Amino acid sequence: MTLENEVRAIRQAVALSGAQGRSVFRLSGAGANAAADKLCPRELFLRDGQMLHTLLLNERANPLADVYLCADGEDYLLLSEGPTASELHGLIRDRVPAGAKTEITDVTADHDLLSLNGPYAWELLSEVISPEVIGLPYLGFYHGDGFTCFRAGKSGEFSFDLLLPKAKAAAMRGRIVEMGSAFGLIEAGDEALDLCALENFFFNIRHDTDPEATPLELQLQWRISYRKEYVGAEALRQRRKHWSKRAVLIASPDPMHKGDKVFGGNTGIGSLLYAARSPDRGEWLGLALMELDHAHPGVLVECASPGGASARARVLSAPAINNRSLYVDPQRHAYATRGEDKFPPLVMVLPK
Amino acid sequence: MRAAMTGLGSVCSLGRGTQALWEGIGSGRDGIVPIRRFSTAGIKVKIAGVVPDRNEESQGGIPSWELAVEYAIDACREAWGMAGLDGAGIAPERIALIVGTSLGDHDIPLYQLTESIAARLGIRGPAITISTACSSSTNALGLGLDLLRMGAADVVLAGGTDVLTPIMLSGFNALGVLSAGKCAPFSQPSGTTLGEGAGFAVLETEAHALRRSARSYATLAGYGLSADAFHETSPEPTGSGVARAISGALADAGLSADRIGYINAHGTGTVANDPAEWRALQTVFGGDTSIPLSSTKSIIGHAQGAAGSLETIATVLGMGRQMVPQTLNFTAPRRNGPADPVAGSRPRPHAYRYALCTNSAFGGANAAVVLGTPGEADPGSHAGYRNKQVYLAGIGGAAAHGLDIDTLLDALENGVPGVTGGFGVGAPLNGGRVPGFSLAEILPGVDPRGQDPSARFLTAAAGLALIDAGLGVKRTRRDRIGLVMGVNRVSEESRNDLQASISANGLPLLSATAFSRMVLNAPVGNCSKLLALGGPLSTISIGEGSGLAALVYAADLLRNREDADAMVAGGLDEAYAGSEYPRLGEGAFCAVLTASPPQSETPGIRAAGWGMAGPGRLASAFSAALAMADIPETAIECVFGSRISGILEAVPRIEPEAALGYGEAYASAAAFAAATLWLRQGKAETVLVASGAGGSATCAMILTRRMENG
Amino acid sequence: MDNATRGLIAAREEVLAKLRLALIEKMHVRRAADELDPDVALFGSGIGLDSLDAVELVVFLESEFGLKATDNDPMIMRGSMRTLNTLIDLVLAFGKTGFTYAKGAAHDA
Repeated sequence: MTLENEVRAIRQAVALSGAQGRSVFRLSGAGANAAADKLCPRELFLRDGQMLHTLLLNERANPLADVYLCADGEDYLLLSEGPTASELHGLIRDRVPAGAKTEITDVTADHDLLSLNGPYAWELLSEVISPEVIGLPYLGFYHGDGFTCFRAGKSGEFSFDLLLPKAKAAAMRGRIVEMGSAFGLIEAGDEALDLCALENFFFNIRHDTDPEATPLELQLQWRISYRKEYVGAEALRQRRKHWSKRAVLIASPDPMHKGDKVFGGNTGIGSLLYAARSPDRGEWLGLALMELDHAHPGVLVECASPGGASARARVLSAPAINNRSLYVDPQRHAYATRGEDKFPPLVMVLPK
Repeated sequence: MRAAMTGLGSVCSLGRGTQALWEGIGSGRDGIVPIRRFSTAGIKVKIAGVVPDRNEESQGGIPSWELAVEYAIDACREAWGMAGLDGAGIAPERIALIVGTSLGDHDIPLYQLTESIAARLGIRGPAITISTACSSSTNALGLGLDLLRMGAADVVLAGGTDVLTPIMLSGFNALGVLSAGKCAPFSQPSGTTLGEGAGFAVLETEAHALRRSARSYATLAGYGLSADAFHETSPEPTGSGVARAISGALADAGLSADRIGYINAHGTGTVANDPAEWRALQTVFGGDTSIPLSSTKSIIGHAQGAAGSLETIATVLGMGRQMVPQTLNFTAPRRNGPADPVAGSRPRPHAYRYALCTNSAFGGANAAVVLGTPGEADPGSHAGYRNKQVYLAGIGGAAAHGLDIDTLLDALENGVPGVTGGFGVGAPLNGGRVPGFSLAEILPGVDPRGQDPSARFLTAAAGLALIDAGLGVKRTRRDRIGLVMGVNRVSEESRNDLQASISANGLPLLSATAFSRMVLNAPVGNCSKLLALGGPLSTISIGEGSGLAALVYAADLLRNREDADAMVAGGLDEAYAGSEYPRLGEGAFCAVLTASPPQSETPGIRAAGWGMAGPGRLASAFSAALAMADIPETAIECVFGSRISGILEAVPRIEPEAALGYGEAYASAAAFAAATLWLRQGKAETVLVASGAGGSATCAMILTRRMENG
Repeated sequence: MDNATRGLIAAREEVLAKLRLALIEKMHVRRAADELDPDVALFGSGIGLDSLDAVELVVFLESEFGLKATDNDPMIMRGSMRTLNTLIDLVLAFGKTGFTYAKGAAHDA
């Protein structure tokens, strides 16, 4: 029940999470722009206060880190998920051009991240920090009094990250928890966040990895450019000439598991990178890396686990949740009056 | 210095005349009615604030620009009469006309609309068009104040005119910002209601008004401009741009925020505008401010380019009676809205000495004016009169010569020296076209996606000028660098896109992107966004010479104001089909002007003096420039510009236009760039850049390497 | 794979091609068609459309597929403007596409 409560808070109220496995680095100095441009596998068009979602790849073009690059004045902040801080530091150092006048600082050495996800996250945060968050555009950030607030996330809901000095984090957490009680706030762990990412078809660096999976298969081409040079670019260009699989969302009333084989008829067509049960949909969801010919919504497949159990599944159009945050308008709605507001169901079914 | 507003005139959905406007407000009426003048088939919104005697089906055939001219003339005549100027003996060449108007998709360019109004009124001073979409006429009032400060006119008629057209209704409808019912600013439901009309004010110096014993209805105490540098059609959500325009207006008026007793807000009623505007006001006036604030759009509709001047007039009419106009249809407050929206059906008595009118526009152009009750002492005679030196820090261009400004003089060889005779001979370089280029390559980090040629040319020229000035192109928004451009036509490519979308899908399904580019300011707003320039933003049009007019305006803003350290200014043309000029060119040239000497090894150049006068009156503009520069006529060694006559006949002429191709707006900015190179290469000490005889105003600017006047 | 499924896939691919072309030509997305993955967010991140593009998209859906925002529940319209695949679902459910395959196959559980 805990998981279900956590997911409910993310989907219908607001949930607080820590930031295990995430790190923040600052690139500064005259060479910061060149360094960021070198690291970034897509065209780097950012104005101050804007962030861009991209990846760091290995030589074979498999994602190593899920990254936001943030233009902070003439510096860059790099919000990363995946590698440890020291691994990430190494990656950056190796990739930044030799002689670039860039200082690389691990901000998370003395800062913590707190995350708020949920259709009313803006409302709680506007009371905890300042009303400015309401006007913060998606993929934007600003510096407040003793914190930096980023608006970006992988839950499909209003999502904010607060970056603040470790010394102040406990007090802020306490404040959020205290004021959050009026907004149905509970704390949500990785499992709930992972499920929400799956439902929304957000790439999840913790699970969605496979030696065969590059941005091409993972439907992450939007995060890279074929016209730029970066680690993994050549592998990606080669892969583009002959690629055969795509990661898609599949659903089944029966349990599915990470590692299950996916069959179309009697032919093996792929495998499951991740699976979990969605309480809002009342069914299991999986991320299947499967042959392109079958990777279309409506196609029926079979999932077989090593134990012999099998599940009949169908390919879905992503996302699988009709997120409440699409309809919650900070100008009109409030958590306290949510009962009087009319919202569409969390699972949209088109009338036939 | 402040201006006395000695006459007011209006035409709006409440009727013709300021009496009809105030009677409507006083009786709680609104002017929002079903649209009958044209068909609204296919559009769910069928109401607007239409001028009552121009809402017949039979009037649908009147060209939109003719209606705009008619409304303007009516409003100007009323203002003129109210000011008692008939028979006052004001020389026609000392009367200026400034028209703010938005939609640039009439059958004629906007400056011709203004020329037509000036001609009908017998005005022979500068006739200037400001087109920054919904803040046009607010900006026009401000420029009127500047012209008086500059001494370019004794009396200014300033305001705006705009007409509701099928394209405007369809475009706003397509953008999803119209309310199905009458708009309810700061309340529910969200969405705006369009309007139309004209509002003009007679402005003169307080001394001039006093001399002729004219009654002042209010003083125009100051104004401010800014750029959101954010998005084509959405306001910056924290309202910081609006706040900068308001702060600039207060500084120009020499007032602190607590002197303001009433705010006439832009208050369109849309989901995006109202909260951003309220946040801006909270920034300036404090989070818990309870200043009465209302939106006149709930009464007359959103009159676009005329909105600011009509709302200013409504404010002045109220101020004279010590009343504040109400916000109609305010039923359910939105969250985080103003404390006192003057909700109700009647104006409310209120004691106040100063009011603020603020407007924001597509393209991120914000403008605000501060109005005072007559008799309030000007707190600081320094306000608006700072007389700072203005320096030239950098130039850049994108035209037939390419993008390397240093090649411009080589490119001009066939035009140097002494080429005269109008449109040149032979084919212009490269057929007059800008060679292909990649914006991202010349300005790394600048996002070139989805821009029309106008925006690309301008951004290249402005970016290169900033680099030349040593200011570079930065990502961080620079709120103290502004942008003023001379533009005469909307982008031909976007105009074609719009027509193609209408032909393909019908008017109700026109292209919203192309529609949003049917204001002259669109490429300028986009450039401010791409280059992150948040300072004063404006788009000015006088036909031939618009580029130089923008440079003069920008120089004057720097000289007299405190809200900018640098201004990027120049002219822009995009080639268009059906031109009567066989040697048509295109491109953009920009200069960076600064209020402090550039820190460079090369000898500095100073904009020592400038002037502006009526069409064909270059000699007057030139004398004003000489007087400001405090130098003799004999100091001028060379004249840059085309079709210059009546001054300095014996001095060599240089006409970049002869080599680059004819362009009404960009050519005078090209002349400015060429003059700069001339001075940099030590070919002269002092030169004149002048605009030709074809404009609706004439401009002159003296550039010199001498760092002191006299 | 049965014929009904093949028909559905063909119909989806045809709509996908049209939508991708519109993104590139009308909404000025600077990507090759095959870089526009079908399950990627259209707005905000992903393909990166903004509010002006949303207007263009609604217009395109009406002019190309006869989809009227007013005909359908506006919430359905909003909820379908998520990814290329959800748009295809919408077009196949409501649009005048002329496909003869059994509607609703995409949602058979």
